[in-house]
Amino acid sequence: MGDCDRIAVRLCGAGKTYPDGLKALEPIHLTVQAGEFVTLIGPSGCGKSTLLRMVAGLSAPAGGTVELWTTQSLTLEREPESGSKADTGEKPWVPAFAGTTEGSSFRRMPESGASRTAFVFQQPTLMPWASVARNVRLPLDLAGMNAGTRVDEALDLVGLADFANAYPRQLSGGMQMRVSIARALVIEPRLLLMDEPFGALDEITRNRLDHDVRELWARHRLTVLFVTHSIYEAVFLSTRVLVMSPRPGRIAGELRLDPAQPRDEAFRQSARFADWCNRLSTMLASAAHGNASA
Amino acid sequence: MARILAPILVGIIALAVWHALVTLNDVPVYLVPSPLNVAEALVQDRALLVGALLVTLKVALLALALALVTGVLIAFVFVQSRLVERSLLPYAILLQVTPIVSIAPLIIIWAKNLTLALVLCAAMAALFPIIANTTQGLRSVDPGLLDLFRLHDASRWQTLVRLRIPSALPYFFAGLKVSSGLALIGTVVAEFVAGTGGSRSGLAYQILMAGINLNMPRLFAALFVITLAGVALYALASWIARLSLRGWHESEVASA
Repeated sequence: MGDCDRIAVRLCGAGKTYPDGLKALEPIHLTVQAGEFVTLIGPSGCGKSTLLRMVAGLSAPAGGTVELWTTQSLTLEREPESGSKADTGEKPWVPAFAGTTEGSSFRRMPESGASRTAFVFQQPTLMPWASVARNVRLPLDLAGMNAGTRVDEALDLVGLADFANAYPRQLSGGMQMRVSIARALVIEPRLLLMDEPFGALDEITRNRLDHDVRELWARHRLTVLFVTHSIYEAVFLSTRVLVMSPRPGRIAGELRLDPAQPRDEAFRQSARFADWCNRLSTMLASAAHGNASA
Repeated sequence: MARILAPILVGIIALAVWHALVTLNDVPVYLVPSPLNVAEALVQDRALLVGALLVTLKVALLALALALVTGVLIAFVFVQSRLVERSLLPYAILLQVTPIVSIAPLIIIWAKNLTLALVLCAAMAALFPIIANTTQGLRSVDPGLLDLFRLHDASRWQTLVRLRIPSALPYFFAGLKVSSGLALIGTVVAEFVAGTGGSRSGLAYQILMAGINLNMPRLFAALFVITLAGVALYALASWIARLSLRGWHESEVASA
């Protein structure tokens, strides 16, 4: 149980400003404990995807620090000028413990084998020339790891065991998204980052996939950081919802949801679900209003 | 069925009209031969024509291979940086817009070996579509997949082999289809420039000689063989493209 009081993600004043001076994100302070299911919700353009990309190491923060899986505070130091990061105009930031990854903003953790991070994008983002199995195996191939039975297991988890040899274009949008999730699961991640993964799907498919993700989270004791603009999705999935307000993005409110509450179809019909949705809706409205009047 | 029958029917009608016009107007054979004259020449001169075709095809295929290798290499250089591409692209375009007829004499004088000269001319004609398409293809990578590769710490080499090259394939094959025809055209043009003092063996030489001798049926027969060779080259390129892209790319899935 030592995992539960560990910090999966910690952002200290990590903000984002684009080269043209546009401020995308105010400095963000955020801590995600291991085992949480945290959802970021907000209108389009509030920087929630940017925040997720910073956590993934795909986008360097303009100032502040991003830490994953730390028990004690580790300082992140900027390296001396060694090249320009085109998207910020800032010096590249590299954690002190990053070793040799000069120029790369992807962190290597102190115990990197045990702290894998997976990312699920808005689009399935599959290689059209590769079969489902080869798509799922990609992260293992890139790491030079032996796949063994892990691809089959990952496909089994998302219910696509029979489609290993199919090509992405032969699958529906929902099935492609499942492949994308299987590809994330194949590395047995401890932190799963999901950026509006089901935004392009119909509501029926989305509800089913939400259910599956919630099951995977519970069964595999994952830590999930999830981005959505759907109130229902946020309430159904999360143990904690962070409400963001736009331009520049900041965290305007927080709603903690009873983690013991079972999340099933009955929950969707319940008064509690409606109550949480209403509260979240009110928070979103006041976040938008507060920003407009400011 | 109609897909094959319809064009064949059009061809037959066109030949019939041609034949009718020539016979009804008593057009002399040395001006316009009838399709029957041409068919006759095809059969009678088949040894000559096939020999000439093989010579021309050999040059065209060598030129296509050369254009492929250099074109792909140049494209790889181009995608290394925008600066490199901007510095070199104007010269690639210069090469493309220079009429091959105007530099073929130079190349033929410079290169000692005539076959080599012809190959160089034809390769120049076929080069640009390969460069342009492959460069475009190597750049047309799904940004989401690039992020994924970055996220998993992929090396430059892994990204090239597993992502950029497969992404570029459809573009590359589009270029190959265009270049296959251009290589043949370039070969024939270069053979023409080399003229009767040239190899005395390619299809262009046969056309030149037939023209000088007013042997119109043979001239038409040689023309027919050239076009047939062009179609065959295109079909070969399409077939290779289909084999490679079958199953995943839109351009080939619909027709498979």
